[in-house]
Formats: sequence, C-alpha cells, structure tokens
Amino acid sequence: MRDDGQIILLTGFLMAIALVIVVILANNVLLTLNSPALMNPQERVRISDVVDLLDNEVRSALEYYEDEGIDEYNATMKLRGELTNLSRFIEYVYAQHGIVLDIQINTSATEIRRVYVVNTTRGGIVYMKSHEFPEHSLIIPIDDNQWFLSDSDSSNDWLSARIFGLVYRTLNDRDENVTRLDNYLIPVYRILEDPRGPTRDNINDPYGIPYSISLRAKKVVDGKNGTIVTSSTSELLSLKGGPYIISAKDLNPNTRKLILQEAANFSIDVYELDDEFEYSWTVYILGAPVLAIYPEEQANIDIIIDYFHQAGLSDSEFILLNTTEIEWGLLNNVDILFTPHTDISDAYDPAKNLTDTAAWKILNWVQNGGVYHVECYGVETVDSTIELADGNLHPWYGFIGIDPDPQKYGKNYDSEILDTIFSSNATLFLSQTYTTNGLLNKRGGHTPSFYFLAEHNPNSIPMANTTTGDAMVLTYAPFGEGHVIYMGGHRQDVDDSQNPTPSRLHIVFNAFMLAKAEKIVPVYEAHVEGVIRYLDGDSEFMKRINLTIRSNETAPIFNFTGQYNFPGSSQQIELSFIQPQNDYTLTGEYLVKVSSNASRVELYISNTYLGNMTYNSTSSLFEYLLNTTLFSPGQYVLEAIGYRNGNSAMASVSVYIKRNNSSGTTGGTGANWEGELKIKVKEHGNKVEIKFRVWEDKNSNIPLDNANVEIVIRDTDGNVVYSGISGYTDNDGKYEGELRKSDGNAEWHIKKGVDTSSLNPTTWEFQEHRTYTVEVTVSYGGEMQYFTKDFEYRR
Amino acid sequence: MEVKEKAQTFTLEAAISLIILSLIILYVVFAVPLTPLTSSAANVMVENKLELLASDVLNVACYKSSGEDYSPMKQALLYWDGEIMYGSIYNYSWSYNLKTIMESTFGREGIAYNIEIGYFTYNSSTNTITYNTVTFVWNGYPSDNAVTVTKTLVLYDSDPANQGIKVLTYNIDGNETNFYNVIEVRLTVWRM
Repeated sequence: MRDDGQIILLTGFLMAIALVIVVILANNVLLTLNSPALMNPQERVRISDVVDLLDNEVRSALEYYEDEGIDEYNATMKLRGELTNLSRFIEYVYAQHGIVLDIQINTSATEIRRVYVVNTTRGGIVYMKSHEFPEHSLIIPIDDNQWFLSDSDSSNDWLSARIFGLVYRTLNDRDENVTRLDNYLIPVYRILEDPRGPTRDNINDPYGIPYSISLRAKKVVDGKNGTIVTSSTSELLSLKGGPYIISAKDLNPNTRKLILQEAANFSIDVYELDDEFEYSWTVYILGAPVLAIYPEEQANIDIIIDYFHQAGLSDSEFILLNTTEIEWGLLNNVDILFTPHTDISDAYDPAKNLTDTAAWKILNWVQNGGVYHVECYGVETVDSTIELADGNLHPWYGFIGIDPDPQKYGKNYDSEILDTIFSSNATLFLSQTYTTNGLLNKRGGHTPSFYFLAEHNPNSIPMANTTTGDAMVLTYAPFGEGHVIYMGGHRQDVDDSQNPTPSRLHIVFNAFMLAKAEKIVPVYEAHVEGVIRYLDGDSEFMKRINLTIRSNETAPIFNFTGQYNFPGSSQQIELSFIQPQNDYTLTGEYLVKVSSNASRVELYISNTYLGNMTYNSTSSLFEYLLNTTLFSPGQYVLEAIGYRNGNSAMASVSVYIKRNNSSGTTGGTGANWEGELKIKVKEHGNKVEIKFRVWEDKNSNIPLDNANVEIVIRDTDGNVVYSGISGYTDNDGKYEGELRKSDGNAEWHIKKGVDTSSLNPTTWEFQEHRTYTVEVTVSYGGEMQYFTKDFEYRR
Repeated sequence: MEVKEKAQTFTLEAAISLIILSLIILYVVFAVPLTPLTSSAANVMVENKLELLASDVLNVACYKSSGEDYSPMKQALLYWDGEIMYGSIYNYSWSYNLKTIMESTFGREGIAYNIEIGYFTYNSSTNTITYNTVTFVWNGYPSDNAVTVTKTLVLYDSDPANQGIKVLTYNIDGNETNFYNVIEVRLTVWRM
C-alpha cells in the first residue's frame, strides 16, 4: 500500500507540473495578442541621436534664419534659445527611460556670424578686389582715349556701344558663329573709377577711388582706321569712366590676335600695358551674359535691338521673349532681361489672353539672381505688375516701389550721379561711365524720372537725380539674390535731338555686365559649444560639442576682415562703450554712453532688449538711463547694436549690478520673505562669521524652514571672492557658519542649518581694510529672494 | 485481482503522464524560438536581431534627405487625424511613404509593431510639464521578446499644423523662435 501511495503521489506531482507548464505556454503563445506581456519590452535609447539632433537643429535653424532674413544678432539670440529649449526637452525625453542626460550649451560661445563666400556670378554683392595686371595686358578705354569721344564731331559717339560689343564677344564662348572670337571665353576685368568728375573726386567716397588713373601703354589697335598697329610709341594715358582690361595671363597669341582683329573691325581703340599695373578696385567678369528682351510683341522693343545692333551684335546673340515663352520657363537660361518703354500691364491683362504666370516667373527669376533692367514707361508698369504677382510677399510695392514724376523733371534737366553710388558694390559697378562733371544728359519720354513711394524697397539706392526737382532718373535695388535697375527716359543712346548720349548708354550696358560679374554672397556660420553628460546606470561618459556649421559649405570663404560689414558697402560702423567699461559695478540709475557713427543704436542687457539709445547732439554720444534696481544683483552683459544702411555692428561690456539696499533686512525680488544678515570678523581676522535668518512672516515669527541658501562674497568691483557656500535653513530659518583661516587656507564651518557647501576658492582671500559684500540668495517653492550686506575686513 | 487492477491503473496513469510530459517537452522545444519564457541565448539573439532591424527601419523612417521637406515619419504624423490605426498605417494624405517602409520591412517579415508617440503638455495653472504617450499604430500587446527603439523628432512653428501630433503638444516659446517642441517616436516590435 505504501508503494501505491508513493506512485499516486508522484503521478499527481508530475501532472501538476505539466499543467502549470501548459497553462504558462498557452498564455504565452496563444494569448499574447490580447493580454499584456509579463515584462515590459526592452528599450533602446541611443545617445548618438542627441548629437544628431543638435547638429540637425543648427542646420535647420540656419536655413530658417536665412530664408526669413533674420539678422545675425537676432539669429544668435534665437539659436541660443532654441538650443537651450531643445536640450531641456531632450533631457526630459531621456529621463523617461531612466537616463540622466545633461546637455549644457555654452550660450556665450554659441553664436551666428555672417561670413562671405565667393559664389561665381549669382549673388547680391559684386566681388571688388585688388589685382595686378602684367605688362602686355590689353586696355579698352571708354573715355576720350577712344578716337570718337575725343574729336569735336559727336556723330560717331554711338560707337561707344561697340566697346560693349567687343567685351561681350571676348567673354562669349557660345560659338554663335558670328565671329571666331565667340568660340573662346576670355575673362575681362573692369576697373572701377569715380564717375562723378574730377571736382567731386574724394568727396563722400569712403574708398578714395580716383576719377582717373594714369599708366603707360602703347596703342595696338587704331580704331579710326580699323587697323592693328604693330609698332607704336609708349604714351601716358589718363583713363576715366571704368575701362576694361584683359589680363595678359588670360591671353594667348591666338586669342590676343582675335581680340585685336575684332576691335579693328569694330573701330575701337585698344592699348597694351607697358608695365605692370596694380589696382585696388577691380571686378572680374567671368562670361558673356545671355541677353533677353521682353515683351517681344511690343513695338518699342526695337529700342533695345538698336542698342545691340549699335554694339555690333547680331540677332543670334540675344533672344526676344514673349509671355508664353516666359511661362514655359525660358527665363531660366537668361542672365539679363531688358524691358523698354512698354505697358507690361497690358501683357498682364487676361482679356488679352495673357496670364499672370509670366509676372510670377519674372519675379522668381529675379529673386534667384537675375538682373532686370527696365526703362521709361516700363518702370511704372513693371512695378505695378510685379506688385500683383508679389501680393503680400514683401511689405513694399513691386520690385522697388516708384511713383512717376508728374513734373517730369528728367525731360528738362540733366541728372547728377549721386554720392550714394558708394552704398554698394553693385551701384558702384552700375554707375561706371565717362563724364567730365558727373552729369547725365536729360532725356524725354513717358517716364523720364520718378520718385520712391512711401513704402518702397528699403534697400533701394538712388543713383542719379535731376539737378532740379530731385527726381530719380536711375535707381537700383537688390531683390533676393537678383538686381533690379530702373532708368528713366525713352531711349538712352540719343537725346531728344537725336544726338548720341554715350554716358547714358554705358550705364545700360553696365547692367548687362553686372549679370556675369564675379559675386560674393553672405552666408550664416553657426558656432556651438557645449557638453553632453550621459548616465544610464551602466555607462557614463561626457562628450564635448564644438560645432561650426555654415549654410553653404561648398563655396570657398571670402576672407573679409570686417565682421559686420560687407565689402563695398558704405563706411564701416564704429561702435564702442564710453561708459560703463568692462567689469564696472553699477548701482541705482546709471547713464550708459556709447560712441558710434551708426544712425540708430539699440541697447540690450544679457539678451533682453532695453530700447533705442538717444543721441545726445551735445556730447555726440548715444545715451540710455539704465535703472539697475530693476535687475537682480549679478553679472550682466550690456550689448549695443548700431545700424546704418542695412548693416550692423555690435559692442558689449560685462558689468556687475549691485544691490542698492545693503541693510540685509529687506531687498530682493519675487517672494516677500524677511531676512536678517549679520557679518562679524572675529579672532583677529581669522574668522568671518555669517549669520543669516529668514522668515516667511517675521511679525508672526514664522521662520522659513528648509529653504535653499546660496552665499556669494564679492569685492567692491563685483568680482567673486568666495562662492559655493550653500545649504538649507533649519527649523528656525537659520543658516549660520563661519569662514576660518587655517594655514593660509579657508574653510567653511556650518553652525546652523544643513550644509551642502563646496567652497571656492579654498585659499584665504580677504584683505585688510577692504569692503566686501555678502549676497545671500534664498529660494523656496519656486520663489527666490536676495539679501546683501557689506562688511569691512579688519583684524 | 485487486492488485492487478491497481497495477493496470498505475500503468495507465504512468502512460498518460508520459504522453503529457512528452507533449510538453515537444511543445517547449517548438516554442523556444518563438516565445521563450526565460532568458536564453536564443532569446537574446532574437531580441538583438529585432532591435537592429527596428533601429534601421526607424532611422530610415525618420530620415529627411535634403530634397525633402519632412521625413516619412514626421510627414505622416503632421497629417495624422489623431485616431489610432489598427494593424498598419492607414491610407491618408502623406502617409504613403511611411506605410511603404513599414509594409516592406515588418509586414514582409511577419513582425508585429506598435508605434507610440511621446509628447509634452503644459499645465499653466500648476506650471508643470507632463510627458504623455498616444498610440499611433496598434497591433496588440507585445510579447516578452519585444524590443522598443525610440527616436526624438523636432517640431517647428513652420511645420503645417493639422489635426495631428502638433495640436497634442504645445509651442514651448510662443513665436519667439521657430522651435515648437519635441516628440518621441517609440517603435515596439516583436515576432508573432
């Protein structure tokens, strides 16, 4: 019987085990889809994602700031804010997985600055640089060194257009089978000079660009006789108006011969440098622009065709575009578009079977780097047509925003080339022309002159105004990456009496050359520093962040020394703090003074905007009365940003704001706690006792228990002498201790309260008869209050 | 006679126990690679493979190439209507790219997946930030060999605000910067 019982027990035991296993397996296999697993899934969170997130955020932010046109100061502020917020929330995310992640962005070292890259021909800023031309370089004058401009007969002055034709053919390598010269791309330099005449040379010119340059050269093409000169004597040339020079380095015997022959055919005088010649303001033209005229249907298009024919170009060297072709996207291959006197708004009229697509295409083409030159009535109608297409994309009207001149001063008065041509490299380039007095001939037409509307493109630069009435005859505006030039007058090659006006015609051709002039473009470069600390229970490590990211990483950097000013813009902004200087301590109301040649100066305190500074005409300084009592005691950075002509410059000083109230019984911000702070120097200066007590309500004797206390001791200049004294108040709201001197070292000994101190430094720093300030920061329940008290250290 | 009957009963019990035990062993042997109960070398291998696959798929789904405005995952989340999708990604505007990635990976290999989205909300009265999750795709409760991989995505003010994920969370800095908030994509995968 005993055996039976044992066997039955064994069998029962085995069956019980089997049942348990079956139940568990069944649960696991069959029921997994509708009941929770026994364990949570294993989670994998990758630290590499954090680095990628920061990296991608910076790239994304750069793209956004450039698209939105945010200036570099505000972009820096925004990037700092974005990275701080992003870091905080990444930390929160990782905390959900039990990972301690600490991302510390060094905000003061994190900044965005504008750098410049050389970007071939598309871009807003013409690359103006110094260049040395070797001897035998070819010179093509545009002034009275050409035979037709030096003689008394003006009937041949139209040959000025041929200078452009020769340069165009030299640059052209599209093999349009017009001449053998159009098979080779030979770059051409433009020498920039002051077109305002010798009397205004050096007036309001920030560069000191001369009206004329003198150099020795030999004539190699006699344009008048149409011959290549093989033997000529060296002569001293005085070149004006911005001649073209082809560097001998860019020539070989064959191309040289082709150019000379073309010049002879065109009746253009060409000279050859006798000696090396260096010039500081040259522009490199890298190719022949693709020329287009619009709208093809308009009769006045012949005006532009005449210009080109006068330049010696054949019909195959430019294209005529109609609206349909622009809709098809043919503008994409065009560098410069020309619209003469025309009612382009008729072309826009849907009743005439033409759509608004063309206007939109033109708008985008300019935005992306196209050069658009518009004349006479076209100025009015293009501006209004573009306004329709642009809608609310820009806060101003059309490309520029112009109002036709009802008095039509341009008809009756010559126009003067303005000093504002120095506002940008593009306007300096566009204004190159030969005048003896800086005046352009008057010219009639439907729209000989115009004014700005109140809400016009703020970057517009007037280039020539009528001598009476101050109406504009020539103006320019950057638009996106492109350029828009408006010119009054029905045609530029002749005046109303049909006399040639080469000075005006050259300005037209300058626009074409602008399209292929070498450019530099500004891009943003972000520098980010910080530290990532990671602790997941198993692994712990630290990774330093040191990122430098540029929005256009492939283009070569243009090393311009001025940080806040692009080359060729107007005079660089100067900005400096007169008071306070670095490390000043400020109390009460403090008058901040800044010296600057900017038109407007903004003041910030540690990235918080304070307001515009007021210009004091007596002191010639910008001033701002800063009420320091509005700020908690501590270290701040005062930043002044000056603006002028779309450029900016920044200066900053680090200051310390000290509490005005040193009683130690009140003060601070946030909470309404009351405190008492007592300092005592004991034992011949070997101990400094600090007694602090804080009440939630002193009258009712309700002490603030377990409040966080942090103590910093500063000298009178605001420099930190000791930091790291911290802890919590006891039941009586007390936090007390003393600094003790021991063999030249300092030690913090707590007497009342909870101590979490880590004294820094640990050397004895107090000096005899000097005054120090003890600052106590108390925080509790999300509120904070400050208390300070001064004491003199005496043995 | 009595002894013989007892012996037969014992024999029968033993036979039944043997059959049950054999079945159990057989069952366990078959079941191990599928749904192991305890940690084993095979289990770890399965999890590692799953994790690798899940990480790769999530990386691809969250990758934005320079020619794209958004990654497939972010695009699908921005235009998501907020309703839980059972089984797989549903067809709706801008879900196609993510749906394709999921179907050509997990769908093809018979791997079940859930996608949950972690996001933050802010309570201004208590000044607290709370982390919440919402289910994006649901295929049931994962088994014990499941693995979760995660990816943090950044939302911007300039991202389109549909009824999807952007309205669940909040704009951290108002319109101060283009930064809106972050969300966490939690992809859990397991073998069926």
